[in-house]
Amino acid sequence: MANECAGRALSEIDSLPLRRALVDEAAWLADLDYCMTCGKCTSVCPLHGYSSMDPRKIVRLVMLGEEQDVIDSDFIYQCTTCERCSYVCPMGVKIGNMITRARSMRPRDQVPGGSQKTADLHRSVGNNMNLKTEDWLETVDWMKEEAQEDVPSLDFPIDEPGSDYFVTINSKLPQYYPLDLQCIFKIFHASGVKWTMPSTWWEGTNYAMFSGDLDTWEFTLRKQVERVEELGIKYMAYTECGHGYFATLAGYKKFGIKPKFQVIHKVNLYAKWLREGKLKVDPSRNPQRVTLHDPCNVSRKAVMNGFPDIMDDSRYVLSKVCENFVEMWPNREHNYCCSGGGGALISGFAKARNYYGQVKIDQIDRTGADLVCAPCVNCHDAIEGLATEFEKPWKPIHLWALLANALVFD
Amino acid sequence: MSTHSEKIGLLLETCDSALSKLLPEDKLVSMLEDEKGIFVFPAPSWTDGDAVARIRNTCRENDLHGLVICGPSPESSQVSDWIEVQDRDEAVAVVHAAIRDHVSVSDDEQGKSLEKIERLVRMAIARLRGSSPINVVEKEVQRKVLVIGGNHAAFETARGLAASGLSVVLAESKPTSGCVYPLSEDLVREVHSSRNVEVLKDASVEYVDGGVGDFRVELSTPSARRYLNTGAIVVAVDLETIDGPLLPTVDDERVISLRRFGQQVTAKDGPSDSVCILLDQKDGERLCAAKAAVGFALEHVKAGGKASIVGRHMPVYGTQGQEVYDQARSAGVRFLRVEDAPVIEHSTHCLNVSFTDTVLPEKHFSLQVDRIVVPASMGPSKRLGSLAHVLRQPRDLMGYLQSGNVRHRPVGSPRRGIFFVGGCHDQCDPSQAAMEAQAVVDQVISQLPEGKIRVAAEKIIYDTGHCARCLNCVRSCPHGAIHPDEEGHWMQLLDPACWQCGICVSVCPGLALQHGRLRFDQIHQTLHVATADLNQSAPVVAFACRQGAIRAIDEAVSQGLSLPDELLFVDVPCAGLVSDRILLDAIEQGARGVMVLGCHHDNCRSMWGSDLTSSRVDALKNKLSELGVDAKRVCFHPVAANEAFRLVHLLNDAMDEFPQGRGISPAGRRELTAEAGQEVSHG
Repeated sequence: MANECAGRALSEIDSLPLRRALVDEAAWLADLDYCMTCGKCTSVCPLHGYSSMDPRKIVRLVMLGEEQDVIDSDFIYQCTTCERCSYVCPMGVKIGNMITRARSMRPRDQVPGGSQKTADLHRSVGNNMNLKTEDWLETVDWMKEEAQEDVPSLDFPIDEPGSDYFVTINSKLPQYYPLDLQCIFKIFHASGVKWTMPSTWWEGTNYAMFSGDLDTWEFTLRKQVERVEELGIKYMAYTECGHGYFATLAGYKKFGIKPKFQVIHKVNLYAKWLREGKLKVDPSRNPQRVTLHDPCNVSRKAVMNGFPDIMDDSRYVLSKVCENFVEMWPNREHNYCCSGGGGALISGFAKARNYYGQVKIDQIDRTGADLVCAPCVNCHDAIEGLATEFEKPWKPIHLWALLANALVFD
Repeated sequence: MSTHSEKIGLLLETCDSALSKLLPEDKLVSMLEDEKGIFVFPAPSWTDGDAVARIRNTCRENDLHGLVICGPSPESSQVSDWIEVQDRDEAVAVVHAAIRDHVSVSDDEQGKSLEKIERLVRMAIARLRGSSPINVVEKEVQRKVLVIGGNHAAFETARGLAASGLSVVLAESKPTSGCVYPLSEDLVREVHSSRNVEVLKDASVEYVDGGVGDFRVELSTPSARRYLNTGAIVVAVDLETIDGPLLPTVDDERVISLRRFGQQVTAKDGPSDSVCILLDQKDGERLCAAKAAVGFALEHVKAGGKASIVGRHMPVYGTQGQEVYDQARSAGVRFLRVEDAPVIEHSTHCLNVSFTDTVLPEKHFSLQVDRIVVPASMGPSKRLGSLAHVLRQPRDLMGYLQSGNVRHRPVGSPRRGIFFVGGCHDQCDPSQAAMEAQAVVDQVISQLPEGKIRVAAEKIIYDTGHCARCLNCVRSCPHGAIHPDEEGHWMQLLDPACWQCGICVSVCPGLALQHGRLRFDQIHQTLHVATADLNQSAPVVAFACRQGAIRAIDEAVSQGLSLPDELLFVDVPCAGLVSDRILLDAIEQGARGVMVLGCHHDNCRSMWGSDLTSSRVDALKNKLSELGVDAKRVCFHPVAANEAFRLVHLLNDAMDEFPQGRGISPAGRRELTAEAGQEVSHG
């Protein structure tokens, strides 16, 4: 009987896996049936116009039972989950969450680009770059020695139980930008707090969330929590990474993880130490015109999910460490994505990314800045990519680099 | 002029501190030394509850003929248009000398301000001197109401009126078959058993005469003719089903009407299946049917069924219209917006609704459902045509029985005592009908109180000696306040029904009618003062409608905008009052230009008053050109009460348009009126 009918029954639509998952997860999501098709989501989406797909169509397709079209579309991996769409939705439809869910429905071997491979490495090795513990410790040691040439008193323990801070690092640093490690060491040293560098599970990103591998997402989080709790550490100082910080806090909530420590973003720590006078800085060492890029995960998405954000603190730090700070427009929770968010940086859709990045380029160009401070490794790399590709005079910089450069040691 | 006292009161309403400083009482008295019989007195404190009573006493004690209120603007004044003097059965006429923004605080401009203020006060005095005394009469009213219709609105109104002690005649027609909400049997029983209600089945209205408080109605029933004397008439005829199959292309028992679906859902005896409600099947969906569809879908989903609503538009109706949508959405009712009408595929095994979602034009969807629900197509009743004719009321473009003139909404009409509720003037559901019925009951009670009503007599003064019985006035009265009597065909002017717009006066070729509050002489004298002592820049006179333009002027002044200095406003009850005679009089007396500020098309409280004068001005322009007078000296501009900014721009631009110097010579004028007089009529 069903074969004779081309039409789909509503009950059949209701039992489709993506829809089912979204409804089951309803505590996290306002049901997409609330959609009024107003199109606000689409009008704020920087990817809108690149292909025939847009956020509103995604919502309608899932609602009308054509979710396979969504799961199979390139759009869900071109999307940077910046969630400007969810932010403006008058009915509270969580479109970003829907995208992540749709990604999780993709067979793992059909995930485009390198995000799944990275997530698999994270799961098996404990970091994204396939760094063995001894290689990691060797790099740390080398950089420590280099840093001691500037600051002779600099020293710190590895895996010290009972320390105040467990410091996470983005694995790109030891692999590609080891010099940046020195900056982090110097800042933590100057603050005078008790901190330790972990030998394992120090990775400060989470590509499993990007690829939609919910299982690995949960696994890696639990491993890290285990490690911090083993050492009995009070605070996890999360590295300057937007999505890692978000994936950690959102993941704890999503998977019901209740850690015995608190997660603090490093930018919040810099601001705290500057306010407390623990860090002494000389802004004249950073005379260039600096603008700030607000990473979506620690601005808009943090605000939307009730996590502590870094928007005020990053501005406070910049006001202390450089002489010439200029705002980008729009900014804070209205900022546009760097073009590399949500795993787009490694998903292989370079054309889509450049389309999207044009918005960012215009934003940066208008400020006339020399440096774009991006307190997120992902944003930093995406902006660097834009600057190279389009031969722009500005370049990105981490907040830690500006801060470490301004640090004054007695 | 009148046998009444010539003494005029001048009330200083100096709530404006700048004005009181500039114009103390003694200064005003000395300024008006040459005017006779002026009695100046300050306004009592308005916080005093008896302020108006005290003014009334002062008027009576000093035997005042009328009162000039010298204050910022009529809008901000605490004194109404006339003050009733209770023990004399007459009232004191009130004219506002609106000082508005002509008070200058800077010392060097005070002289100029005072000059303008003096002119405004003198204009008001001149206007008042020529006025007739206002007599107040008591009239009997019939506390009986005719209600026409046979659905919610009619029964709700009949019940409300009967409960308020009025006697009701219900000309009951059969309830509309297609109405989404079935008529409540309890309501029908209650009305039928009420002692105050007389029911006439299948009665049609043949003739209506008279006005509020005293309508004479002829009804015909299948068996006999009935003559009634009622105080008010309520038309509550409901929408009508437009005959035809629900879906012309699909003949299937699984396609049901929204009414039937609603009955099942309400009685909870339908299957908990998957239904699809199709809106916008014919010529656009009825708003109230859309609300009903959403409400029924919600109930269906709550009872365990599934429901989707497919339509081109998702109209929102009534006070809680949007709320119903939100509830339905959160309960899981799916809303599908389509570009074109969906295609129905049906076989014995399945029923599919195929459509293209507006968001996904490239994609085709097909929904399998158990039943399809379609609202019946509804429209205004065919009976409204004959009712409109009998009641002398226009219908709107869709055929509903109420003018597009929103001022009369929600239930009133330009004819006092005639009301429209329910589906006769708009789409309507029972909750809306109940609200409207209540509004009618409230208004009827105030118009038809127990005992006698007091109204101003001779709102329009009628001189049979000049009347040619041409019936121009009868045809032109938008409020149904003039009727020829049955014997001599002399005009009967019904004071309770009259709104004093003055349109009848302006169209009377024999000058047999005069406005009771604004006779031609009064206007003539006012213009005389306005244009007196001409210096280099002659003033421009603007006749401004009190309902719209005057409010916009006051609003502009209150917002600190300034108006052209040489402009003098003469407020009129309706722009329709301004006849050729008045326009030409202003030019002849030396005005540089004459402007009429009326209302927008379809926005005139007196229906066609503004349109009438607008076309009058156009015709006059041609005549002026023929006589070699610059046609730019007269103009008409529509202004709404909320268009203060636009008005100021418009006035400034208009000032530049008028040619300099005087209007036309008296010789030219004589020729002109002779010609114009022949053609004055309501077109």
